[in-house]
Amino acid sequence: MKTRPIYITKFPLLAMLICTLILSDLASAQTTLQVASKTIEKTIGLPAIQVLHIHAEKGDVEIVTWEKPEISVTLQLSARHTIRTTAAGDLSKVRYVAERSGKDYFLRNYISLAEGESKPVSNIKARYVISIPSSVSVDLTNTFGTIKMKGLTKKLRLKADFCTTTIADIKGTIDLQTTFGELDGTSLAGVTSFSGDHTNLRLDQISGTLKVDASYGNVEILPTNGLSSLAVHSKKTEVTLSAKNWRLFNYTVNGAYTSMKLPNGFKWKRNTADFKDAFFFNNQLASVQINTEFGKLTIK
Amino acid sequence: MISVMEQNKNNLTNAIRRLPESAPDEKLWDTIQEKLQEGRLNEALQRLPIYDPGPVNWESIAANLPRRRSHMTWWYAAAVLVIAGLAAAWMYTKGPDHPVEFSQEMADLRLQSDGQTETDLAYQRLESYCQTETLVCDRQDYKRLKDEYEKLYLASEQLHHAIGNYNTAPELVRQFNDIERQKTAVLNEMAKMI
Repeated sequence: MKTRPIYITKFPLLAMLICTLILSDLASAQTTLQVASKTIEKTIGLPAIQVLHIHAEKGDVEIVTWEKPEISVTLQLSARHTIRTTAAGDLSKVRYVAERSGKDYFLRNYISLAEGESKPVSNIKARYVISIPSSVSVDLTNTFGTIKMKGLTKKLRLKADFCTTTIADIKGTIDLQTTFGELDGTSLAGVTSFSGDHTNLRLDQISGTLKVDASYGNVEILPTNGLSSLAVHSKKTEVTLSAKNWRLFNYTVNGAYTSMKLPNGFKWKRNTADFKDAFFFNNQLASVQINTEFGKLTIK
Repeated sequence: MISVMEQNKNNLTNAIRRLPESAPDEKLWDTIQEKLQEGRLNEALQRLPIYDPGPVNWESIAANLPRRRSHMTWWYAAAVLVIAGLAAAWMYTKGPDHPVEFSQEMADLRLQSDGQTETDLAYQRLESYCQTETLVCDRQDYKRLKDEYEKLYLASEQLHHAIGNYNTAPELVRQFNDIERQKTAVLNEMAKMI
């Protein structure tokens, strides 16, 4: 009788064992959630809205601009839990506001509990998808969510706590306030100010004027030739300024307890272990002024 | 001839006596009297001179007319408005009925919150050390680090609650891990001083 080699007889068993182990590992890393959701859709026509106010909690907010004169809002509220009835019950505790007041429009999601009602145990989320004319100003507050915004030209005021924020192609007056989280801005032109605490900030293709006040975290700025003025005040922050041609600006740099890495050409007024003051003057109209405490500064 | 005529007269008288008698209704005389007076009144009215009242008289009359009907109309209108207002307010607060939809999602258990971390346990050890050793712990730079750690601790607590048990957002977990790294860096600086 011909006997088959042992690896042939054992191979299917071995393959099955491996598959079982992989699948069981995958299964243990995942669980099925029941999602209860409801969707609210609004179209806000004439008379034209001038300011859109959004107060989101755990919101994923996406704002794009379009050519139409109206505003379109899709708001999806959802609750996630392993038990379907719990998810549905918690969703009923989620409220929203969508109302006009003259030339302002207000959007908001929040939790409202009746007397004796318990807090939601589900994971609650709000997702806003908004299309607006580029001339509408936006006043947005959000916590524990994401923000994506593109194409605004008038006025933007953003307050984001624990948010991952991405903004692009924004003009006009831009006021950004963050605590924790990340903010990534591309192609910002106008009068921009940033105030951040424990936030990682990256601003690319910046023109116009920019004022940065940062505590803790990282700040990376990549200006264009169109930068007219930059003022940075930072504390316990790693600041990096990367310009294609750094000589296009005049610089004044002051650091206390800060390590500095500057290009050749800067002149030192003071250069001690704890205090460093340097400048570069090249008869440019645009000026850069940086004050740092307890951090790192790199200009390149 | 005369006797025949008298005979007939007697017969006629007897026949008349046998006729039934009936008294007129009591109201008849009153009615006749009223008719007679009405006739006289009409004649007197015809003789009365005719005068047109001035506009002041009409206004005076209109002002003294009973207003019960108009008051009721206003009450009805007010009631309708109140009911309509309440209905509108109820509709507004309730909002349009948006149907609840159900779906399923797979949640990665690695995106859920871990609870208290080793960093916090290490910080508690430093704190207990500071209860007996105050030389280092009273220094300004140590206190500054301690304040920073506690700020980060509060932030990680907030994130811990936001992540909860059914999180699907990796961004929140990334932030949580980033804060943990910062806490570790601060804690290492504190530990070096001790």
